[in-house]
Amino acid sequence: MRNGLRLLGGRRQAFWAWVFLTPGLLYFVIFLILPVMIAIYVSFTDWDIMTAPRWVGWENYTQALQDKVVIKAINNTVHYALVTIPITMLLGLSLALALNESFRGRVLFRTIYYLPVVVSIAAAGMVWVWIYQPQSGILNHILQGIGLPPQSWLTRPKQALAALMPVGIWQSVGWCVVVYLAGLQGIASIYYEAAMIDGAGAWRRFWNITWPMLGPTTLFVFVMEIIGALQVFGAVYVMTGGGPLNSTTVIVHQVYIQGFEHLRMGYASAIGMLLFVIILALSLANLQLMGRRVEI
Amino acid sequence: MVPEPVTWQERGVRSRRMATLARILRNWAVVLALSLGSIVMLFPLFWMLITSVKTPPQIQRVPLEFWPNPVDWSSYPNAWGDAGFSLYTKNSLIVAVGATATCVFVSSLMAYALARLEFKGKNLVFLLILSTMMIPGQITFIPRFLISSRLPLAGHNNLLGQGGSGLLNTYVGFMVPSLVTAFGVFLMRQFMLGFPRDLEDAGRMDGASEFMIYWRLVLPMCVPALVTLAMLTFTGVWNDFLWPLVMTTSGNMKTIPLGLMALRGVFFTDWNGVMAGTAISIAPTIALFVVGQRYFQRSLTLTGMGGT
Repeated sequence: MRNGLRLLGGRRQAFWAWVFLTPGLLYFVIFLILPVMIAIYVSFTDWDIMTAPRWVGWENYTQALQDKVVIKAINNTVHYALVTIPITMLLGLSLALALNESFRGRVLFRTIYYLPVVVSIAAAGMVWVWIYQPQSGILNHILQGIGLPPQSWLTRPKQALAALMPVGIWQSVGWCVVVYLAGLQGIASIYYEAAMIDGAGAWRRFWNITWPMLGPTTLFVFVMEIIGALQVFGAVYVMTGGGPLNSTTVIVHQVYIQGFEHLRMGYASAIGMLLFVIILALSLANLQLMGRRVEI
Repeated sequence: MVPEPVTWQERGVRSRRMATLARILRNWAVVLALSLGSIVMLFPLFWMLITSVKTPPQIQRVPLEFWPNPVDWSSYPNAWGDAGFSLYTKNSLIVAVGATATCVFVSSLMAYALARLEFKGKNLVFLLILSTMMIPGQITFIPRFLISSRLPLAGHNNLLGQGGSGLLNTYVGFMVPSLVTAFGVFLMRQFMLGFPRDLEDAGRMDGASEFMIYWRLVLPMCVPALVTLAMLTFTGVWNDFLWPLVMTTSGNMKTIPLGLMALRGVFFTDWNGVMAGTAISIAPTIALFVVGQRYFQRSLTLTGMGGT
């Protein structure tokens, strides 16, 4: 009873805070922190799940960096990121600027542009496979309608990766728009009023106010887009299965194939760790860049 | 500096008229461009719906029909019944609702402790949770699978996690990646920081327990953030396919995305059936977003997700 009374003060709050935090923290330890440690350990072993893991040192890493398919996967992933990120961000910013104007129906437009984001990649993949279908797909019908030759899209090694890109852009533009809109709404209108009085045109207002003020937003979008693009997998798995001839295989696809089809858990973990290192390096480089920009 | 009053006014009126005209023109240009963009964005979904209500011969017909005549709805009951979409929908609903409820509850409870209670090490705990957001999914993916399948005492496993199947083929197992998220804790905490301090002091005076203060006073004020988190979690779980793919070995535990892919295998040429299944699969998340989207932008802006 006395103990209970004493707990009523600051100690009571501390007690309950830990009670509320414990289940969640336990989850983070078991399903996030422990897995990272397991992944690091497993990446140094040869392990097929059935038998005991065998320590092999750096072998998985050296092998991955010489594996032609893994290198192909890294190439494809980087290629995918280099094309989709600038297009997505440019479209996202332009659309956000347009949607930031006041006119009737902007909520409707905002909803429309966001819709593809909530569509699962399994569903989006199905729809786009159907659109790309060589014989009866609508895209080839349109091409023939305007006098162009039909294409094989997903079934031709030289085209397949490029054909996956519009799906990724279609699904991530809406997110970009929403974040840029939030950023635009954070810019105080007083800057624009001041610029108008000085007679600055729309173009100058954009480059001298909007673009610099959006700096942190652009950086945030950029980092998230990099993380997303480097982890692309769903579209590949659903639409091409990495083919034809590995022309669309990507890093996460190799993690999945090596781990769950070839049961090479150590090798798969090593590929996953390589991806983590790439993502971490790029994110840190970006943060560094932001730090410098904020100083200026 | 100040010009003659008369000329100033004249110039003002004229330039204001010009400005209004320019603004109307610009608005029209913006709306036109946005409409064209919308057509591109909506076209895949439009084409999905149109294909789903065509018969196979109508699908093959040249030139393409943008509006089928007659409209044939039969692929929907087929997908729902024969293709098993009623079962997949049930599975997906249980998993998504269960994970969402847990995630919203646990994340907001943790956020309450981090935003409204005083204790030593608070900032350290918060930073630790935030730092887990850096961990990418494909690293934790394989170990999570191992932990889930070898969880002691689950699914006929013994104390060492051997012998049974753990959380494989169970609804709880499907929920594992989304039971709590660092993002959820972050979102809720940022939102809860915005309330005045005396909110819960009144409750404490009345002798309410900390849990009651969280449940009765704080949570009702967090509705926009709760709705946002619920929407994002539900959509994420509903749409995820990689995790259920490795966590299920039995056909009757399939969730909707897995069912969709099976459909493609079964009747690959039957595009109206595939598109009907696709339409069924995306209807709930689209409905959820359309209903909850006004909370969504507000929460994003409030939590400073858009930078600044």
